Amino acid sequence: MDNTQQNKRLDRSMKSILRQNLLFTILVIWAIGPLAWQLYTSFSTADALINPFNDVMNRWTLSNYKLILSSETPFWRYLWNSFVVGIASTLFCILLSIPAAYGISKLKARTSSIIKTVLFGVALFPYVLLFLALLEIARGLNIGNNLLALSIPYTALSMPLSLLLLSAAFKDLPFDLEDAAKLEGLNFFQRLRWVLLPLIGPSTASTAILVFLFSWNEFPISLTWISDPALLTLPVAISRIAGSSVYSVPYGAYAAATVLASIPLLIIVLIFQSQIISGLTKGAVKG
Amino acid sequence: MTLELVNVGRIYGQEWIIRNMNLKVSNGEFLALLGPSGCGKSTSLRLIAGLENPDEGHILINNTNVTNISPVQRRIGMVFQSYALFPHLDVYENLALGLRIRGTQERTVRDKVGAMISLLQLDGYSSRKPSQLSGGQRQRVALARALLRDPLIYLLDEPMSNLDAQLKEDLRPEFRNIILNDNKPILYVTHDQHEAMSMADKIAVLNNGNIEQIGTPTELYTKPSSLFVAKFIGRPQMNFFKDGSDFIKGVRAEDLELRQQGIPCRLSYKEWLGSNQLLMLESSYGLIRLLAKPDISISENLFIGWETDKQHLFERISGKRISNIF
Repeated sequence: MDNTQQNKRLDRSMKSILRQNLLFTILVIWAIGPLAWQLYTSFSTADALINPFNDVMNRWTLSNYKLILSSETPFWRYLWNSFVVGIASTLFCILLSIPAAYGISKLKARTSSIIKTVLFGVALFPYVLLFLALLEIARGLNIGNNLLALSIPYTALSMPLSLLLLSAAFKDLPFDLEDAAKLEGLNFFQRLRWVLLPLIGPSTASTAILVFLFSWNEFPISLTWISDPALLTLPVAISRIAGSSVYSVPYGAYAAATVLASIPLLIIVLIFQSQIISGLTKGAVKG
Repeated sequence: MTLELVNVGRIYGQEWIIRNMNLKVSNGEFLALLGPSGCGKSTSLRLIAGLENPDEGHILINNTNVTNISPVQRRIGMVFQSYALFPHLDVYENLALGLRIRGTQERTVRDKVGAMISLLQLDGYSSRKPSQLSGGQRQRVALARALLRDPLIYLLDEPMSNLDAQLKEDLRPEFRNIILNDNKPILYVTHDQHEAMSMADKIAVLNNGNIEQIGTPTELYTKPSSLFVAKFIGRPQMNFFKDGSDFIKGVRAEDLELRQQGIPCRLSYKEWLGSNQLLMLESSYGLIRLLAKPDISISENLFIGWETDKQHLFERISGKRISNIF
């Protein structure tokens, strides 16, 4: 009697574990599938993509990678360009956001909630609508074809989200901590350096990565601001891969380019994994 | 060295949190600010520390007006209710940070922090983060940090309120000794009258931002200056007898006697307290608390009375004490 009940319970818990694992597997496939497919495509010949079951011996190739790495401007050059813009945008954005976010977190509840609502609205604004106006500005100021200049609109467009996340992080800190630091004799910059910044580290890391990602992926502004082939950023460079036309799409070369383009991101995410997760959930729960 | 508050007031919006606060604490004096929550006691500490600015009045430390001096420069040693230890630093770094910022040489920092760690029996914990410490240990670290500040005055904001009852009782004398050893003015905020009575030289009872009475624990207990103080100090609470006149009589539970005749009462229930028993009685004056000897038997209906010299008399409208009437 007891035994059968125990067995039943065991059975039920086994079932729930199985169900959880199944769900987990589906999620993993959902997330990794496209990436795996891209990787597979990048090593396949054009013929193998159309007829996957023919010619099993000759379906694998490195020609896609050879193609994009041996083009007139080598592919690593674009990686470097995007990296420079990304780092500059992230640095500018974080340096400007930290003092502003601190200020917002210290405002009266009413004022700070108004500012946050405005910021939220700005963050949701479809920035594509701005790129023509931005192009005019770039032309007027003669700052086209300059990677550092490109990071200015990226910084500005990332500011609202960055301010929201960082001011939530500052707000989360118990205010006794800063008072204690004041009584210990720490002035504002010392408090920032020794107490506040170390404590909002995780939020800063996750914010920085979001800004970097935006800059890494951005297309329309980069397309219009940069025309010098040696200064193109990744998304624009990929779109210009030789052979793209209405009649033939070089799927293999595209895939190889996206695989190469995602490697730096994967490295960054792996390094800052734990900070990103704790920072993002903090913003999610209390932002 | 003294701390002096002159007519200090603080207003939030339309409401005075503190009004006309006058206080003087001298060297080596332990003054407790006692009051119910929301009476302005924490605000007064923040005013003294400089974390908030008073809307009127002055704060003097050693006869120097510090009202407009920033907290960074005030040399205040404060223990927060939450302890406010820096969570990303270990115990040693928590204690060393302030010293280094104030320009202490690294060798002196090591000596001072080391000495403080052994004084507060934190040996072996110096590389632990605050989250890896017990409540009592955190409180010691917070106290150590305040002591290392080498302050002119100590402000303690309910430093015991997060500890369990047994630990509180164990720590009280130690806490008092360590901090009094420094011979500076000490202001201790608490809502726990037992804590205030057992630790403080003097107690200031706060009510709605006003100091109702300042005095030694004995004075507060034997001569409460108002109904509020009489109600607030002493457990079980004082009994009040209102008979329609302009006066209210107050009698402590231990001063009431069981008699052959007097005010008729009915026993509602009793609590056994070990050294005596607490009787809750119903009468025409409402609920009455009486402390009786533990060994006498109690009947259902009884009479009570008291010696008139044990009675406290208060004016009904103002609540003020009327002295020397008998």
